[in-house]
Amino acid sequence: MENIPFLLLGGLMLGGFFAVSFASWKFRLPSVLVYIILGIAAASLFHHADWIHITAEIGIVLLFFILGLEFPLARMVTVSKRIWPAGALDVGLNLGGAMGVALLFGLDLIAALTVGSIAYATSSSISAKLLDEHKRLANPEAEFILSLLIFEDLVAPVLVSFLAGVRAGDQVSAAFMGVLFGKILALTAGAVLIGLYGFRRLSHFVAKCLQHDFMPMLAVGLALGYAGLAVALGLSEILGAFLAGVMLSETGRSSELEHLLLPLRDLTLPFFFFWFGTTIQFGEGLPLVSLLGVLVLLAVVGKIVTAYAGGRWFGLNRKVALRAGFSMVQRGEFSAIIAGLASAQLRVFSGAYILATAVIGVFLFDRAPALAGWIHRRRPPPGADPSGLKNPEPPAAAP
Amino acid sequence: MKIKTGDLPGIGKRYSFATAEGEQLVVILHQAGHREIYHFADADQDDPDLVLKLSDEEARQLGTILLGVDYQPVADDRMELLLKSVRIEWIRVAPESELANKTILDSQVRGTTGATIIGIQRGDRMIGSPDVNEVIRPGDTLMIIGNREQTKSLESLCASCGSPASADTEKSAIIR
Repeated sequence: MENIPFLLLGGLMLGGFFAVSFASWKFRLPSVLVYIILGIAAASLFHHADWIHITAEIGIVLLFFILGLEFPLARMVTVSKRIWPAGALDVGLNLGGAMGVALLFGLDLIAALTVGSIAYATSSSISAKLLDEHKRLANPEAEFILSLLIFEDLVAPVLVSFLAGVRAGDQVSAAFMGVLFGKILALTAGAVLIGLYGFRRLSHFVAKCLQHDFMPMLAVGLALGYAGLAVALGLSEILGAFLAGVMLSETGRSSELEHLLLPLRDLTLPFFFFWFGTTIQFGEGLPLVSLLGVLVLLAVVGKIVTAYAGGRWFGLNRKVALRAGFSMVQRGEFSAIIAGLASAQLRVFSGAYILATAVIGVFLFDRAPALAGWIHRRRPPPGADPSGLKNPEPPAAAP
Repeated sequence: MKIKTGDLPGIGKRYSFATAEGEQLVVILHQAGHREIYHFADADQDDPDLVLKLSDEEARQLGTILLGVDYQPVADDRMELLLKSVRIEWIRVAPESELANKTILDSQVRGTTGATIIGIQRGDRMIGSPDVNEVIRPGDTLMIIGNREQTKSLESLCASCGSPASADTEKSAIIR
């Protein structure tokens, strides 16, 4: 591999990404999965390609930066207010549950927390794409599903930061944890202050200069800079990138800035999933198969329960909540990011976990309306019209 | 009519309402710019029976048409009063029209109908407040102003001489 000029290799890789991405769009497969599988297949060819890792890191930073851009503080508060019961259940059941299972299987605390974090979040990219492709964005559960995904996206950077910090330090003492939390708080507070007192005043400047060639530099510079600051503090670049996005969103020009950066993200992010694939080597066989089996089962059951119960709390009627329940099993990019921090053995493990849950998730998503309808007909809620035409919930009541 | 709005974080905004006929319409404005209109025959239905995807420009065009910017089939009272005194209409000149191939002065447009031609659209070109010596050509679209009777009168001139459309002058007005 060393003999091939860098440019040629880069061109070939992007060409390959284009081909598989196009194919996955045609065949309605999640492109995240396809990149990972491509990486696994090409693993032996890419042993010491540092630049892939660097590109991958930039991709992840831009992903979370753009995510942060959509969340001015006020909006974050509004979304969280409505979704937090479901979000809390999600953390308890999927993160806590998986962590508990891992502890029962004899993993140490940090490894168990890593496993829990891998199991925690539904894939935003796969879910959003599925909702769009299956024409279910108009359905009432879409708002709930997307809000819960956002809640997970808010928890994710903190979780990753925590894991990155713990991994870097050797001793997990109370003092160490205190310092870690202090750093996370300081970084967040810094972003909030800069956002509220700095960027909010720059709205006019950003609007005026948006088309100039120096604007992408400001945005990407801020993203990389704050992400790097987080890394320097021993936290995760993801938290820094997300906070940089939140900061800049206070200018009120998020969507324009987003359009500037989307092409850059789309170019770099596939490298992350590809890189993640290359680090998975099934050569030594799959470790902890029984744990994997239990966790995959938990992944399915946990998300169905979370999304059903959370959906009911959100105000969805029973059938719609059931449909939401079957639509959130797929794990994806977030699990891959966590796994990127984990030991080699756990990485193989989580690679298999992601592939399994993503495939099951896509399958269930496809069948969700049918499954929900079937359950609804077979077990009508007490006191309701069994035909399913009347809903006891006020939001869906007929006029 | 009650329109429910909701956020679709990461996607855009969602508006839904039930029509008087009991059908459910959902409009989604994507952050990327395009719009989607979903139609459900009733609110409980799982799958939409129609999904319409529109680009930003198409959606705006459709929006102005629905808003009745150029053509108000059933105007409300206030509008009706306004329309009685001032109307602006776009009218296409039929080839057999007695206005065709004559100057505005020769046709005595103002004198015979009372309406005034304030613009002519010829192909891609727009002639604003044309000179009285301007020759009107078949296929031109005239922008005219006047009260209801005056504009009607000019409309019938434009499409006159036995063309089938002339029976219904309202139809010959170009809706744009």
